[in-house]
Amino acid sequence: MKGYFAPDTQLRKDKGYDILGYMYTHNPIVFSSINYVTASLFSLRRDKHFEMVCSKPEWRQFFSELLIAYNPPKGLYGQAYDLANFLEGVLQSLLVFGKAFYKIDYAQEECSQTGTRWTIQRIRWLAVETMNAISGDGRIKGFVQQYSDRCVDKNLRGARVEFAPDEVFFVEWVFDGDKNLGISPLMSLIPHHKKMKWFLELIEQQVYAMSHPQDRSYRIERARYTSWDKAKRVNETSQIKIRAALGTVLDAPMSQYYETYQLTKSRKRTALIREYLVNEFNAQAVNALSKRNSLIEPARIELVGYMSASEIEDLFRKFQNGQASQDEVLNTLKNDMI
Amino acid sequence: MALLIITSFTADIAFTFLLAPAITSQSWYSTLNAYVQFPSNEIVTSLLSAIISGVAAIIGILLAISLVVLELAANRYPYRMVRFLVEEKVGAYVIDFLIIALLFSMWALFLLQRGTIIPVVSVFVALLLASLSIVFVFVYRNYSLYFFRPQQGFQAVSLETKRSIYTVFEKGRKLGTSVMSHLQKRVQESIQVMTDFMEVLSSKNDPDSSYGSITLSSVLSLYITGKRFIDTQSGWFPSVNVPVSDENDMISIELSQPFEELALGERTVPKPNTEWLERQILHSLRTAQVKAVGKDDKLCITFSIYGYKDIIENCYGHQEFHILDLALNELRDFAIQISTIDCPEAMSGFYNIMLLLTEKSIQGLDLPKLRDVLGKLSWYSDEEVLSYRLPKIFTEELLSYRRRIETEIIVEEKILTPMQWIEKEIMEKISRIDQELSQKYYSETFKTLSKMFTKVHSKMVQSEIRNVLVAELLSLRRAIVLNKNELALENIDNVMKHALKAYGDLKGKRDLRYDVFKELKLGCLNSLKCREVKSFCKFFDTLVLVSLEELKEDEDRFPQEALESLMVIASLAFLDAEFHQEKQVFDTVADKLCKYFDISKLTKLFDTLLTRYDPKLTLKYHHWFKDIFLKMSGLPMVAKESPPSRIPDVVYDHPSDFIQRSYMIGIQECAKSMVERLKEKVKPT
Repeated sequence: MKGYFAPDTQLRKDKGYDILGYMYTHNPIVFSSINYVTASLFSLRRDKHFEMVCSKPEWRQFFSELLIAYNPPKGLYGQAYDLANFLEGVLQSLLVFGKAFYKIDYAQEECSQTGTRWTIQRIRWLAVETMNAISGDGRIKGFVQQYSDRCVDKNLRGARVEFAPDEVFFVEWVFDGDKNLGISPLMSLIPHHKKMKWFLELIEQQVYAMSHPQDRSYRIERARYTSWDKAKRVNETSQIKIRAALGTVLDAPMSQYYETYQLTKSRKRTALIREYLVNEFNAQAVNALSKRNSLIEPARIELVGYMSASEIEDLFRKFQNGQASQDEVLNTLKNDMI
Repeated sequence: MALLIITSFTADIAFTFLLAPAITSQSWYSTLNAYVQFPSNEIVTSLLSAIISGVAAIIGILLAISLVVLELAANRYPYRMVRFLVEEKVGAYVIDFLIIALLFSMWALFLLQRGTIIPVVSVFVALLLASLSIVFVFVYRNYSLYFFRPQQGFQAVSLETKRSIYTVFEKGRKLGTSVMSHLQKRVQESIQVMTDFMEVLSSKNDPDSSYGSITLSSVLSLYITGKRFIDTQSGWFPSVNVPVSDENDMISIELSQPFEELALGERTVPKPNTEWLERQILHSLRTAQVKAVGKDDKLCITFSIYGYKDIIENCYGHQEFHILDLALNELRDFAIQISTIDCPEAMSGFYNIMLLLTEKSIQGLDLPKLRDVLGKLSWYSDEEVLSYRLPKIFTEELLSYRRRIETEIIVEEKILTPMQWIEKEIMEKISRIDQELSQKYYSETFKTLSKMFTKVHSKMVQSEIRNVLVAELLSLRRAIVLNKNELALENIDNVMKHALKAYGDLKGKRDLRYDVFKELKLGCLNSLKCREVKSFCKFFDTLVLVSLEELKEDEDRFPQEALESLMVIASLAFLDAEFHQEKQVFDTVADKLCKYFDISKLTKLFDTLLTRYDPKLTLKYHHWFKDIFLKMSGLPMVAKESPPSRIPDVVYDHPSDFIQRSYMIGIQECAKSMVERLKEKVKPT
């Protein structure tokens, strides 16, 4: 089995991924926002999120049972229990690291209807910090996994694995412009994370200062005389910035117009992410499998029942023109997730 | 002092070496010198010595007098007042000035004796200071004599208080916590000084104690105008410890745990006491009022009521509704207390306040002003919102909305919400609040008047029964006239019950009854003119019932007036029904008249009234009919065949036969047609 999931701590530090991981695990707003965004990608209340499009019924059945079934083959998506759950995991990786790499393990099997055919045995997570895409002529020519010499796992020190383009499912963060292609949205939030951390420390120091009035050290005196209201404001502003950057629906006070705009924006982005992930999965996994099975018309997974970004945009325009009330828009957008 | 010495010494040198040679070289100087002999050094020395002795003597005398006065004041006034007198500023300034004049004269004398130049400027300044000192001593004499009059005393303390409050209003945002806290203590002390002084005067039955109520009320009135702009954390509002409640966050739970585990009682947190000033003043006023009622001090009672007027007016104008509630509670209790003692001036003041509150509640908040400000706001800072000095609710709403706008500024770095959306959202919310407040305070007036009615009715104070009823009816009419009929309808039933219940109790008091009757009549006419049918029905129903009383043949009745009123109202109802082609109003009138009167007798009485032309009737009631008459005259004329002659007639283009042929009619023609219509209604078919 090619490719490893084991992390390389040193490499993670070198590439600056450690602080992003720390933010996700230690900052409550980052943690809850990322979880909210990933959880809102697919509605838990729906039975069906996808449908398989393929002109040949036997192949449609094969792809459906393999990839989008309620109970896919055990372990196909690793820890995830189905495609929706798998894509949520992919999104989480995108939000934290800006990139996600998964090894696609193909295998051959015998079938009474179609004879020998290619299938996907497993889609496995690869440690992001160890992965690199090799590009050329405007397209990806392959992938390389390279562990550092200081990796904690002695067996993996200096390990190098090369992958063919169709062996890896690779996506990167594309929603913050070309400049930030493949860069985690958390990267721009580091200053706000630091401000929130400072606020937490200030609370600790102020509580300490309250219970230790005799302590006149500079650190405690500074905490004592720091304006609570101003510090709270800094913390709140940082929280809003983080939530907004990660596409969460804000819980701060807002005007009716902006509340609608903000929910629309959040839902639109979720719709774009959902479409992007499904398209990439189609292009890299479903297409590759179709090709391996020599299908002339490749199979395709399509989303079912979700509002598209343009539909959401149209709804907001109606609200702007006074053709739809705020309640109507909010209910429609919320119902989209039910 | 040092600055004065340095300046004048420099001027002395400049004069001696620059200006003096220039002057002496002039030809006019030698001419002047030939006629005028300038005083010699000896004369100037003697003069300065005399000034020094004189000023020193004045200072000595003043200090001696001050000590005597303070000794006397200590016996007469409470200790806080004595402290105020010691710290009194005008006296301190005069003494300071005298000391400066003394010291400077000594310095000038020293320069004259030991200096190498003649200190012309310094001597001149010393003379000037000495002259001014004498003038100031006389001014101070008058001031201090006045100061010992209670009225002046109250004024002086209230001036000090108001000065401190102005400082808080104008510089509050720049001042530190300790300065604000000091100002708060000074104001608190001043209020206590006034309270103590009032108590002393009241215990001596001095009528001047009433000035205390006025000055305290004026301090509160001033405070209301700017309280909303004082930062709650500025130090102006002293901290009070309040038990912690509704705090479920982790930090609060952790902080509360030791209190629970170690049985230390309830955990408290310091919170600013934002009501200290109004509560303190209202408490002082209440104490003074109780004493005034106990001693039957009518002047103090009246002044106390007058004091509330400004407070309530300012509360409404500046939207300080919390203070308004507190003040209204105090006023209501006080007014009910004094309603049964004979104090017409105070009661009249109270009813005026009630009518003022009605007026304010009907007119509501100044929404156009808010709309105007909304058009100008850029929303980029709290200071900008505060700079418009809007009343409390407007300011709070705008600041709260700015918090919302701030979210989009933080996220988007610009304001996305279109201005018209912002205006719409705010105006909708404020309009809702306005409606609630109107309803609350309009009903509050009626609740107060209702309580007053119960009290005066139980004690059978006839003049007050009349006053309460007139105030209630006038409040209803005002709401109808200002198109707030829904407010009037909420309270009208209760008022009419009062009117019917009390009308009989005013037996033997024709004038009092007439006032109530007149209000009912005007209520009918107002609601007819404003086309408020429901209110009209209620007013007319009560009017008919009280008219029945007045049509009895007793000596102190006014049957003619009652009959005339019924006829005029019925005529206007008839005209209105015909012109607007809505029969409901006149049908109501006809039904009520048929129900309570023998209609054939009534129509005969009406006919008798209409047998001759009465110009007074037109003079008295024309303005009620005028609007419809004017509208009628604006109708186009059309040709219409009259059935018997078939000759075309030119008539008004209107479906009503009466209106068609009502060219140049007056009240009497309307009344005649109304009587005819009444007769037709009861004619057996």
